[in-house]
Amino acid sequence: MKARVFVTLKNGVLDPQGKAIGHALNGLGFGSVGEVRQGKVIDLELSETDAAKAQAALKEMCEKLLANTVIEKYEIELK
Amino acid sequence: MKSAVIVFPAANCDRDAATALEQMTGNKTAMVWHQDSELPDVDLVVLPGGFSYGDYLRCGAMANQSKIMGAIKAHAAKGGAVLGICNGFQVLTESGLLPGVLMRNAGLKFVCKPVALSVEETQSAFTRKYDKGQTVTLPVAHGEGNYYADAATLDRLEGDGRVMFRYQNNPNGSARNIAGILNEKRNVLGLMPHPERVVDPLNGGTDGRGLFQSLIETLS
Amino acid sequence: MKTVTPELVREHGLTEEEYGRVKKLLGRDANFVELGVFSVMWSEHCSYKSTRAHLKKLPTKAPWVIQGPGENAGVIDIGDGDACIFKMESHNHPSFIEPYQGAATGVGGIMRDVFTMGARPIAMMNALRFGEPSHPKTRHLVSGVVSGIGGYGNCMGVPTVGG
Repeated sequence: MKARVFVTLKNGVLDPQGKAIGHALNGLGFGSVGEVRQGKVIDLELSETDAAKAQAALKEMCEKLLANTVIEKYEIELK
Repeated sequence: MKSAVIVFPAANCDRDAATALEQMTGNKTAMVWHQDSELPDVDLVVLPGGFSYGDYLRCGAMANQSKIMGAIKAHAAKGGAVLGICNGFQVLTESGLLPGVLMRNAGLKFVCKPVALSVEETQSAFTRKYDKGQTVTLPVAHGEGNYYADAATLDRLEGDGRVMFRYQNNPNGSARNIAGILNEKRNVLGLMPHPERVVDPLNGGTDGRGLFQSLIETLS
Repeated sequence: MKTVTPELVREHGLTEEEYGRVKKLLGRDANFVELGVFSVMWSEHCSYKSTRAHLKKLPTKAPWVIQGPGENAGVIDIGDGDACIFKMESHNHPSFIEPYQGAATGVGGIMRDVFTMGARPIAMMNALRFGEPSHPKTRHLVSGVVSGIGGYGNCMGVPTVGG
Protein backbone atom coordinates (compact mmCIF):
# COMPACT_ATOMS: atom_id res chain seq x y z
CA MET A 1 0.00 0.00 0.00
CA LYS A 2 1.33 3.44 -0.85
CA ALA A 3 0.65 6.58 1.13
CA ARG A 4 1.46 10.23 0.69
CA VAL A 5 1.67 12.56 3.66
CA PHE A 6 1.54 16.34 3.29
CA VAL A 7 3.07 18.30 6.16
CA THR A 8 2.39 22.03 6.14
CA LEU A 9 2.63 24.88 8.58
CA LYS A 10 -0.49 25.73 10.54
CA ASN A 11 -2.25 28.90 9.49
CA GLY A 12 -0.88 31.88 11.30
CA VAL A 13 2.62 30.44 11.71
CA LEU A 14 5.17 32.70 10.02
CA ASP A 15 6.74 31.15 6.91
CA PRO A 16 9.77 33.23 5.92
CA GLN A 17 10.88 30.55 3.44
CA GLY A 18 7.53 30.79 1.69
CA LYS A 19 7.92 34.57 1.59
CA ALA A 20 11.40 34.29 0.10
CA ILE A 21 10.10 31.89 -2.56
CA GLY A 22 7.30 34.34 -3.38
CA HIS A 23 9.72 37.23 -3.78
CA ALA A 24 12.00 35.12 -5.98
CA LEU A 25 9.05 34.23 -8.22
CA ASN A 26 8.05 37.89 -8.44
CA GLY A 27 11.65 38.66 -9.34
CA LEU A 28 11.53 36.12 -12.16
CA GLY A 29 8.62 38.03 -13.67
CA PHE A 30 5.68 36.17 -12.14
CA GLY A 31 4.02 39.26 -10.78
CA SER A 32 0.75 37.48 -10.22
CA VAL A 33 2.18 35.44 -7.34
CA GLY A 34 0.88 36.56 -3.96
CA GLU A 35 1.26 34.62 -0.73
CA VAL A 36 3.40 31.48 -0.83
CA ARG A 37 3.65 28.83 1.84
CA GLN A 38 5.85 25.76 1.56
CA GLY A 39 5.66 22.31 3.12
CA LYS A 40 6.81 18.74 2.75
CA VAL A 41 5.62 15.67 0.92
CA ILE A 42 6.57 12.29 2.37
CA ASP A 43 5.87 9.20 0.29
CA LEU A 44 5.70 5.87 2.12
CA GLU A 45 5.35 2.25 1.10
CA LEU A 46 3.54 0.13 3.66
CA SER A 47 3.27 -3.63 3.82
CA GLU A 48 -0.13 -3.13 5.47
CA THR A 49 -3.08 -4.14 3.22
CA ASP A 50 -5.98 -3.04 5.42
CA ALA A 51 -6.81 0.59 4.62
CA ALA A 52 -8.24 1.39 8.06
CA LYS A 53 -5.18 -0.04 9.83
CA ALA A 54 -2.89 1.85 7.46
CA GLN A 55 -4.74 5.11 8.09
CA ALA A 56 -4.50 4.65 11.85
CA ALA A 57 -0.79 3.81 11.68
CA LEU A 58 -0.09 6.81 9.45
CA LYS A 59 -1.93 9.12 11.83
CA GLU A 60 0.29 7.87 14.65
CA MET A 61 3.39 8.32 12.48
CA CYS A 62 2.41 11.90 11.84
CA GLU A 63 1.70 12.62 15.49
CA LYS A 64 4.92 10.98 16.68
CA LEU A 65 7.48 11.95 14.08
CA LEU A 66 6.50 13.22 10.66
CA ALA A 67 4.86 16.44 11.84
CA ASN A 68 5.62 18.72 14.74
CA THR A 69 2.06 19.35 15.80
CA VAL A 70 3.01 22.51 17.66
CA ILE A 71 3.37 24.31 14.32
CA GLU A 72 2.51 21.78 11.60
CA LYS A 73 -0.62 20.08 10.33
CA TYR A 74 -0.79 16.98 8.15
CA GLU A 75 -2.94 15.34 5.51
CA ILE A 76 -2.83 11.65 4.65
CA GLU A 77 -3.58 10.28 1.19
CA LEU A 78 -3.84 6.53 0.70
CA LYS A 79 -3.27 5.29 -2.83
CA MET B 1 29.43 17.77 40.05
CA LYS B 2 29.40 14.81 37.68
CA SER B 3 28.19 15.35 34.12
CA ALA B 4 27.48 13.54 30.89
CA VAL B 5 27.34 14.89 27.36
CA ILE B 6 25.15 13.05 24.87
CA VAL B 7 26.78 12.37 21.49
CA PHE B 8 24.25 12.30 18.66
CA PRO B 9 25.47 11.61 15.12
CA ALA B 10 26.66 14.98 13.74
CA ALA B 11 26.60 16.76 17.09
CA ASN B 12 29.76 18.85 16.78
CA CYS B 13 29.80 20.86 20.00
CA ASP B 14 30.01 17.83 22.26
CA ARG B 15 33.75 18.15 22.80
CA ASP B 16 33.47 21.87 23.51
CA ALA B 17 30.82 21.13 26.13
CA ALA B 18 33.00 18.43 27.71
CA THR B 19 36.04 20.72 27.77
CA ALA B 20 34.07 23.53 29.41
CA LEU B 21 32.65 21.16 32.04
CA GLU B 22 36.07 19.70 32.77
CA GLN B 23 37.58 23.17 33.11
CA MET B 24 34.83 24.22 35.51
CA THR B 25 34.44 21.07 37.59
CA GLY B 26 37.84 19.43 37.38
CA ASN B 27 36.03 16.15 36.68
CA LYS B 28 36.09 14.09 33.51
CA THR B 29 32.84 14.30 31.56
CA ALA B 30 31.16 11.07 30.47
CA MET B 31 30.53 11.03 26.69
CA VAL B 32 27.35 9.03 26.18
CA TRP B 33 26.52 7.54 22.77
CA HIS B 34 22.93 8.21 21.62
CA GLN B 35 22.24 4.50 21.18
CA ASP B 36 23.02 3.66 24.80
CA SER B 37 19.96 2.87 26.88
CA GLU B 38 21.37 4.01 30.22
CA LEU B 39 23.04 7.07 31.61
CA PRO B 40 25.99 6.84 33.99
CA ASP B 41 25.37 8.11 37.50
CA VAL B 42 25.60 11.87 36.89
CA ASP B 43 24.10 15.08 38.22
CA LEU B 44 23.93 16.95 34.91
CA VAL B 45 23.10 15.75 31.41
CA VAL B 46 24.04 18.03 28.53
CA LEU B 47 22.54 17.83 25.03
CA PRO B 48 25.15 19.67 22.95
CA GLY B 49 24.95 21.81 19.85
CA GLY B 50 25.52 20.67 16.30
CA PHE B 51 23.57 19.35 13.36
CA SER B 52 22.36 15.98 14.63
CA TYR B 53 21.20 13.84 11.72
CA GLY B 54 21.97 16.74 9.39
CA ASP B 55 18.75 18.40 10.63
CA TYR B 56 16.85 15.82 8.57
CA LEU B 57 13.03 16.17 8.73
CA ARG B 58 13.27 18.86 11.43
CA CYS B 59 16.14 19.97 13.67
CA GLY B 60 16.37 17.55 16.56
CA ALA B 61 13.45 15.42 15.35
CA MET B 62 15.54 12.36 14.57
CA ALA B 63 17.83 12.72 17.59
CA ASN B 64 14.67 12.75 19.72
CA GLN B 65 14.05 9.17 18.57
CA SER B 66 17.38 7.99 20.04
CA LYS B 67 17.45 5.19 22.58
CA ILE B 68 19.09 7.42 25.20
CA MET B 69 16.11 9.78 25.32
CA GLY B 70 14.24 7.39 27.61
CA ALA B 71 17.02 7.58 30.19
CA ILE B 72 17.21 11.36 29.83
CA LYS B 73 13.46 11.72 30.41
CA ALA B 74 13.71 9.48 33.48
CA HIS B 75 16.63 11.54 34.79
CA ALA B 76 14.56 14.72 34.34
CA ALA B 77 11.49 13.15 35.95
CA LYS B 78 13.56 12.33 39.03
CA GLY B 79 14.62 15.98 39.22
CA GLY B 80 18.02 15.54 37.57
CA ALA B 81 19.46 18.57 35.76
CA VAL B 82 19.33 18.67 31.96
CA LEU B 83 20.94 21.40 29.84
CA GLY B 84 20.15 21.64 26.13
CA ILE B 85 22.36 23.97 24.08
CA CYS B 86 21.35 25.03 20.57
CA ASN B 87 20.62 21.72 18.75
CA GLY B 88 20.20 20.29 22.26
CA PHE B 89 17.44 22.83 22.93
CA GLN B 90 15.82 21.74 19.66
CA VAL B 91 15.92 18.10 20.76
CA LEU B 92 14.36 19.04 24.12
CA THR B 93 11.42 20.82 22.45
CA GLU B 94 10.93 17.88 20.07
CA SER B 95 10.87 15.54 23.05
CA GLY B 96 8.30 17.57 24.94
CA LEU B 97 10.65 18.10 27.90
CA LEU B 98 10.37 21.78 27.01
CA PRO B 99 7.38 23.54 25.41
CA GLY B 100 7.37 25.30 22.06
CA VAL B 101 9.48 24.81 18.96
CA LEU B 102 12.57 26.31 17.33
CA MET B 103 11.90 27.40 13.75
CA ARG B 104 14.00 28.78 10.89
CA ASN B 105 15.46 32.21 11.68
CA ALA B 106 13.03 34.87 10.54
CA GLY B 107 15.78 36.51 8.46
CA LEU B 108 16.50 33.10 6.85
CA LYS B 109 20.24 33.55 7.37
CA PHE B 110 22.54 31.53 9.63
CA VAL B 111 23.53 33.93 12.41
CA CYS B 112 26.99 33.55 13.93
CA LYS B 113 27.99 36.28 16.40
CA PRO B 114 28.20 37.20 20.08
CA VAL B 115 24.85 38.49 21.36
CA ALA B 116 23.88 40.42 24.46
CA LEU B 117 21.37 38.65 26.68
CA SER B 118 19.49 39.74 29.76
CA VAL B 119 19.45 37.22 32.58
CA GLU B 120 15.73 37.36 33.40
CA GLU B 121 15.53 34.88 36.25
CA THR B 122 18.06 33.98 38.89
CA GLN B 123 15.84 31.64 40.91
CA SER B 124 17.21 28.52 39.28
CA ALA B 125 20.00 26.00 39.48
CA PHE B 126 21.29 27.40 36.19
CA THR B 127 21.38 31.13 36.86
CA ARG B 128 21.69 31.75 40.60
CA LYS B 129 25.24 33.06 40.25
CA TYR B 130 24.14 35.83 37.90
CA ASP B 131 22.42 39.02 38.98
CA LYS B 132 18.81 39.52 37.92
CA GLY B 133 18.78 41.76 34.86
CA GLN B 134 22.51 41.28 34.27
CA THR B 135 23.73 41.54 30.70
CA VAL B 136 25.82 38.60 29.53
CA THR B 137 27.37 38.11 26.10
CA LEU B 138 27.18 34.59 24.64
CA PRO B 139 27.80 33.57 21.02
CA VAL B 140 25.02 32.24 18.84
CA ALA B 141 25.58 30.11 15.74
CA HIS B 142 22.31 28.86 14.29
CA GLY B 143 19.96 28.90 11.35
CA GLU B 144 16.91 27.63 13.28
CA GLY B 145 16.75 29.50 16.57
CA ASN B 146 13.41 31.26 16.17
CA TYR B 147 11.51 30.26 19.35
CA TYR B 148 7.77 29.88 18.88
CA ALA B 149 4.95 28.82 21.20
CA ASP B 150 1.28 29.81 21.27
CA ALA B 151 0.26 32.83 23.30
CA ALA B 152 -1.08 30.78 26.23
CA THR B 153 2.21 28.88 26.56
CA LEU B 154 4.25 32.07 26.32
CA ASP B 155 2.10 33.73 29.00
CA ARG B 156 2.57 30.74 31.25
CA LEU B 157 6.34 30.79 30.74
CA GLU B 158 6.45 34.45 31.66
CA GLY B 159 4.05 34.09 34.58
CA ASP B 160 6.00 31.17 36.04
CA GLY B 161 9.32 33.00 35.74
CA ARG B 162 10.62 30.39 33.31
CA VAL B 163 12.06 32.71 30.66
CA MET B 164 15.71 32.58 31.68
CA PHE B 165 17.48 34.56 28.99
CA ARG B 166 16.18 37.21 26.62
CA TYR B 167 17.89 38.68 23.52
CA GLN B 168 18.55 42.40 23.81
CA ASN B 169 18.73 42.61 20.00
CA ASN B 170 16.66 39.74 18.65
CA PRO B 171 18.82 37.98 16.01
CA ASN B 172 16.29 35.37 14.85
CA GLY B 173 12.69 36.52 15.37
CA SER B 174 12.09 34.54 18.60
CA ALA B 175 8.76 35.27 20.24
CA ARG B 176 9.10 37.75 23.11
CA ASN B 177 12.90 37.74 22.40
CA ILE B 178 13.18 34.44 24.25
CA ALA B 179 16.67 32.91 24.16
CA GLY B 180 16.36 30.29 26.90
CA ILE B 181 13.60 28.68 28.96
CA LEU B 182 13.04 26.38 31.92
CA ASN B 183 10.59 23.51 32.28
CA GLU B 184 7.87 23.53 34.92
CA LYS B 185 9.98 21.63 37.44
CA ARG B 186 12.85 24.09 36.84
CA ASN B 187 15.43 21.35 36.27
CA VAL B 188 15.60 21.38 32.47
CA LEU B 189 17.04 24.43 30.68
CA GLY B 190 17.18 24.95 26.95
CA LEU B 191 18.94 27.88 25.32
CA MET B 192 20.10 28.72 21.80
CA PRO B 193 23.30 30.63 22.71
CA HIS B 194 26.48 28.70 23.61
CA PRO B 195 27.64 29.21 27.21
CA GLU B 196 30.32 26.53 26.82
CA ARG B 197 32.09 28.73 24.24
CA VAL B 198 32.71 31.51 26.75
CA VAL B 199 34.21 29.66 29.68
CA ASP B 200 37.87 29.88 28.66
CA PRO B 201 39.13 33.51 28.54
CA LEU B 202 41.16 32.53 25.46
CA ASN B 203 37.84 32.42 23.57
CA GLY B 204 37.20 36.11 24.16
CA GLY B 205 34.77 36.05 27.08
CA THR B 206 33.85 34.29 30.29
CA ASP B 207 30.14 35.11 30.68
CA GLY B 208 29.28 31.43 30.29
CA ARG B 209 31.03 30.53 33.54
CA GLY B 210 28.14 31.81 35.67
CA LEU B 211 25.81 29.13 34.29
CA PHE B 212 28.20 26.30 35.09
CA GLN B 213 29.11 27.81 38.47
CA SER B 214 25.41 27.96 39.35
CA LEU B 215 25.03 24.29 38.51
CA ILE B 216 28.16 23.29 40.41
CA GLU B 217 26.97 25.16 43.49
CA THR B 218 23.51 23.59 43.32
CA LEU B 219 24.51 20.04 42.47
CA SER B 220 27.78 19.40 44.30
CA MET C 1 34.96 -2.51 -27.04
CA LYS C 2 34.78 0.74 -29.02
CA THR C 3 37.63 1.47 -31.42
CA VAL C 4 39.67 4.51 -30.55
CA THR C 5 39.45 6.98 -33.42
CA PRO C 6 40.79 10.56 -33.59
CA GLU C 7 37.15 11.66 -33.29
CA LEU C 8 36.75 9.68 -30.05
CA VAL C 9 39.99 11.09 -28.66
CA ARG C 10 38.71 14.59 -29.37
CA GLU C 11 35.39 13.80 -27.69
CA HIS C 12 37.35 12.69 -24.63
CA GLY C 13 38.90 16.14 -24.38
CA LEU C 14 42.46 15.08 -25.23
CA THR C 15 44.48 16.97 -27.82
CA GLU C 16 46.38 15.22 -30.63
CA GLU C 17 49.60 16.00 -28.80
CA GLU C 18 48.31 14.53 -25.55
CA TYR C 19 47.14 11.37 -27.28
CA GLY C 20 50.54 11.12 -28.90
CA ARG C 21 52.05 11.04 -25.40
CA VAL C 22 49.57 8.36 -24.36
CA LYS C 23 50.68 6.16 -27.27
CA LYS C 24 54.32 6.71 -26.35
CA LEU C 25 53.68 5.72 -22.72
CA LEU C 26 51.70 2.60 -23.65
CA GLY C 27 53.83 1.68 -26.66
CA ARG C 28 50.59 1.27 -28.65
CA ASP C 29 47.14 2.79 -29.15
CA ALA C 30 45.00 3.07 -26.02
CA ASN C 31 41.85 0.99 -25.75
CA PHE C 32 38.52 2.56 -24.88
CA VAL C 33 38.92 2.05 -21.11
CA GLU C 34 42.48 3.37 -21.10
CA LEU C 35 41.37 6.40 -23.13
CA GLY C 36 38.72 7.12 -20.49
CA VAL C 37 41.23 6.87 -17.65
CA PHE C 38 43.75 9.20 -19.33
CA SER C 39 40.97 11.61 -20.24
CA VAL C 40 39.97 11.93 -16.58
CA MET C 41 43.46 11.95 -15.10
CA TRP C 42 44.67 14.54 -17.59
CA SER C 43 41.54 16.73 -17.35
CA GLU C 44 41.91 20.29 -16.11
CA HIS C 45 40.03 19.40 -12.92
CA CYS C 46 42.28 16.51 -11.98
CA SER C 47 45.65 17.66 -13.28
CA TYR C 48 45.47 21.48 -13.19
CA LYS C 49 47.37 21.36 -16.48
CA SER C 50 46.78 25.00 -17.36
CA THR C 51 48.32 26.18 -14.09
CA ARG C 52 50.92 23.44 -13.68
CA ALA C 53 53.62 25.56 -15.29
CA HIS C 54 53.09 28.26 -12.65
CA LEU C 55 52.61 25.87 -9.73
CA LYS C 56 55.96 24.27 -10.59
CA LYS C 57 57.65 27.56 -9.70
CA LEU C 58 56.51 27.34 -6.06
CA PRO C 59 58.94 25.98 -3.44
CA THR C 60 58.16 22.50 -2.14
CA LYS C 61 61.21 21.53 -0.12
CA ALA C 62 62.36 22.84 3.23
CA PRO C 63 63.38 21.41 6.61
CA TRP C 64 59.87 22.11 7.93
CA VAL C 65 58.05 20.29 5.12
CA ILE C 66 56.90 16.99 6.61
CA GLN C 67 54.78 16.08 3.60
CA GLY C 68 55.11 17.87 0.29
CA PRO C 69 53.31 17.35 -3.02
CA GLY C 70 51.95 13.89 -3.78
CA GLU C 71 49.52 13.31 -0.94
CA ASN C 72 46.02 14.55 -0.11
CA ALA C 73 47.28 17.62 1.75
CA GLY C 74 50.56 19.22 2.74
CA VAL C 75 51.96 18.93 6.27
CA ILE C 76 54.19 21.63 7.74
CA ASP C 77 56.11 21.50 11.03
CA ILE C 78 55.13 24.67 12.93
CA GLY C 79 57.25 24.01 15.99
CA ASP C 80 56.47 22.93 19.58
CA GLY C 81 55.75 19.43 18.27
CA ASP C 82 52.80 20.74 16.25
CA ALA C 83 52.10 20.37 12.56
CA CYS C 84 49.71 22.27 10.32
CA ILE C 85 47.88 20.44 7.55
CA PHE C 86 46.75 22.63 4.71
CA LYS C 87 45.06 22.22 1.35
CA MET C 88 43.75 24.49 -1.34
CA GLU C 89 41.84 23.84 -4.52
CA SER C 90 39.67 25.45 -7.15
CA HIS C 91 36.13 24.34 -7.98
CA ASN C 92 35.10 26.41 -10.97
CA HIS C 93 33.13 24.14 -13.22
CA PRO C 94 30.95 22.43 -10.59
CA SER C 95 30.15 25.83 -9.05
CA PHE C 96 29.17 27.19 -12.43
CA ILE C 97 26.85 24.26 -13.17
CA GLU C 98 25.15 24.18 -9.76
CA PRO C 99 26.47 26.92 -7.45
CA TYR C 100 25.25 25.66 -4.06
CA GLN C 101 26.05 21.95 -4.46
CA GLY C 102 29.14 22.66 -6.56
CA ALA C 103 30.65 24.88 -3.87
CA ALA C 104 29.49 22.56 -1.10
CA THR C 105 31.24 19.56 -2.66
CA GLY C 106 34.33 21.73 -3.00
CA VAL C 107 34.27 22.28 0.75
CA GLY C 108 33.62 18.60 1.36
CA GLY C 109 36.56 17.63 -0.80
CA ILE C 110 38.95 19.99 0.88
CA MET C 111 38.00 18.80 4.35
CA ARG C 112 38.36 15.22 3.18
CA ASP C 113 41.88 16.02 1.97
CA VAL C 114 42.78 17.25 5.45
CA PHE C 115 41.26 14.45 7.50
CA THR C 116 42.62 11.74 5.23
CA MET C 117 46.01 12.91 6.50
CA GLY C 118 44.81 12.14 10.03
CA ALA C 119 44.14 15.77 10.97
CA ARG C 120 40.96 17.49 12.15
CA PRO C 121 39.91 20.49 10.01
CA ILE C 122 39.55 23.53 12.26
CA ALA C 123 39.02 26.45 9.91
CA MET C 124 38.26 27.30 6.30
CA MET C 125 38.87 30.25 4.05
CA ASN C 126 38.04 31.09 0.48
CA ALA C 127 39.07 33.52 -2.24
CA LEU C 128 36.30 33.82 -4.79
CA ARG C 129 36.36 35.34 -8.25
CA PHE C 130 33.28 35.94 -10.37
CA GLY C 131 32.51 37.60 -13.69
CA GLU C 132 30.98 40.99 -14.36
CA PRO C 133 28.62 42.05 -11.54
CA SER C 134 26.23 43.28 -14.19
CA HIS C 135 25.98 39.86 -15.88
CA PRO C 136 22.56 38.29 -15.16
CA LYS C 137 24.10 35.00 -13.95
CA THR C 138 26.59 36.55 -11.53
CA ARG C 139 24.17 37.30 -8.71
CA HIS C 140 22.82 33.76 -8.79
CA LEU C 141 26.32 32.28 -8.80
CA VAL C 142 27.58 34.45 -5.95
CA SER C 143 24.63 33.75 -3.66
CA GLY C 144 24.67 30.03 -4.45
CA VAL C 145 28.40 29.62 -3.91
CA VAL C 146 28.48 31.61 -0.69
CA SER C 147 25.53 29.71 0.80
CA GLY C 148 26.94 26.38 -0.40
CA ILE C 149 30.24 27.04 1.34
CA GLY C 150 28.44 28.12 4.51
CA GLY C 151 25.93 25.30 4.40
CA TYR C 152 28.51 22.56 4.19
CA GLY C 153 31.02 24.10 6.60
CA ASN C 154 28.43 24.94 9.24
CA CYS C 155 27.04 21.41 9.25
CA MET C 156 30.52 20.00 9.69
CA GLY C 157 31.17 22.42 12.54
CA VAL C 158 34.13 23.97 10.74
CA PRO C 159 33.86 27.77 10.66
CA THR C 160 34.66 29.79 7.54
CA VAL C 161 36.92 32.41 9.08
CA GLY C 162 37.69 34.54 6.07
CA GLY C 163 36.92 35.12 2.44
